[in-house]
Amino acid sequence: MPRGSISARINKILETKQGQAYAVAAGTAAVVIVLIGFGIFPILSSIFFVSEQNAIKQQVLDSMTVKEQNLRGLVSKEFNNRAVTLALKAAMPDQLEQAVLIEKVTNLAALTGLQINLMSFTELETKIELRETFDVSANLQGKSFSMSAYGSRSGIEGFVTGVESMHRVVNIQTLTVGRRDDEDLQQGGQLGKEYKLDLQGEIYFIAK
Amino acid sequence: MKKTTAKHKKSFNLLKPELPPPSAWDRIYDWIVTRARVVVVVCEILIVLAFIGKVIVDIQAKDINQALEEKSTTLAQFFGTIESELRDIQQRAGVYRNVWEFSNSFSSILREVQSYITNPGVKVTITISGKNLTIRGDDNLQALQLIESQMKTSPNFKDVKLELNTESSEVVAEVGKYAITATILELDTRIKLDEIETTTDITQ
Repeated sequence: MPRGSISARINKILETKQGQAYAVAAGTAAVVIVLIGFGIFPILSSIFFVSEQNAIKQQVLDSMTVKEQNLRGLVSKEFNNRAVTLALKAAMPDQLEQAVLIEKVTNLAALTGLQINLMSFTELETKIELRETFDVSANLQGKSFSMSAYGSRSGIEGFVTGVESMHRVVNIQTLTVGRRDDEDLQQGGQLGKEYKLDLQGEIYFIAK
Repeated sequence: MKKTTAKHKKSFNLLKPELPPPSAWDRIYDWIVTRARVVVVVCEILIVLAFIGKVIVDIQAKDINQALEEKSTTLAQFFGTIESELRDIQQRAGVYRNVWEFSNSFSSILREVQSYITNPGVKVTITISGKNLTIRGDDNLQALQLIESQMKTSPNFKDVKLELNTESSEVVAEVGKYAITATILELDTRIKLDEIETTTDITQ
C-alpha cells in the first residue's frame, strides 16, 4: 500500500470527532494492554513465583535450624558426658583389645584372690550372626574367651559376679566350678585355692 | 472601517448555548479522555506497586539464600566431623545396651547352688551352660541327694534329676559318678543400663 494513502486515511479518520475517538480509544487500549501484558502480569507472576520459592526455602531453613539446634544440643551433651563416651568406647571398642581385657580380668582375679592359670582367645564357634543374636545393625564381631583359675569358693563367686559386672561385656557361655584333686591341694601354697574355675565366654567389638 | 469595527463589537448573549445532543461517539470520546486516563494511571500505579513488591520479595529471597548458605556451611562442618561421631556413639550405645542386656548372667545361680553345698570338702563339680545345670560328684551320694532335694524346692530350677553319670569321660577333673541335671527356669538377666548409670561410675 502506498505511504501517502496511509497518512491520507489516518488524516481522514482524525478529521472527524468520531475518528479522533476511535484513535484515542485504540491508543488507550493499546497502552493498557501493554501495561498489563508486559508490566503487571510478569511482575505479579514473578512475585508469586519468588514468594512460593521463598516459602519452600524458609521451610528448608527452618528444618536446618532445628537440625542445627539438635546437633548443638547433642554436642553440648556429648561434651558434658565426655567421660561416659570414652567409657562406652572402651566397653564396646572397635577392635578386640585383648590386652585391656586381660589386664582387667587379672586385676579382678587379684581382688578376689584367684590364681589365673590360663587365658585364651579363639574364634567363635557359633555360626549364628551376632547381629541377629543381639538384634543390632552394626557389624558386631566376637571372639571366644576361655580361662581357668584356682581360688576359694567365695573368691570364685566374687570373680564371676565381677566378670558379669565388667563394663567390657564378657558373655559367659559355660561355667564349671569344682573342687580340685586332693593331690594338687597337698602341694604348698594352695590355701584359698581349693576350687577350680573354668570359664568360657564371648567378648564383642564393633568392626569398622 | 468604522462599520467593520461596529460589526465586530462584542455583544452579550445571556441565553444558554444550545448544543446538539451528544452522539455515542461523543460519549466514548469523553470517556476516553476522562475515565480511561484514570484507568491508565491506575495501571501505572499498579505497576509501581508491583515493582516495589518484586523488590521486597527479591530482598527476602536474597536474605533467605544467604541464611541457607550460612546454615549449609555450619551443617557441613557438623556433618563432616561431629555428626558422624555422634552417630557412632548412638550406634555404639545401642549395640552395647543390647549386648549387655542379652548376655548371660550365671552368678546368682552359681551362688544358689554353692549355698546348697554345706560341706566345702565334698567333691562336686558344677557346670552351667546356657540353661542347663549339671552337678557331678562321686564320693557322697547323700550330699548330692541333699542338693537335689533343695534344688527341687527352688523356684529357679525344673526337671531336676539325680542319676548315674554316664558321661564320665567328659567330666571335668575326672570326677562324677553321679550327676544332677536340671534346667534353669529363668536366667537372671543383667540389670538395666539405666540403673547402672545412676548407681555406679561408668568411667571405671
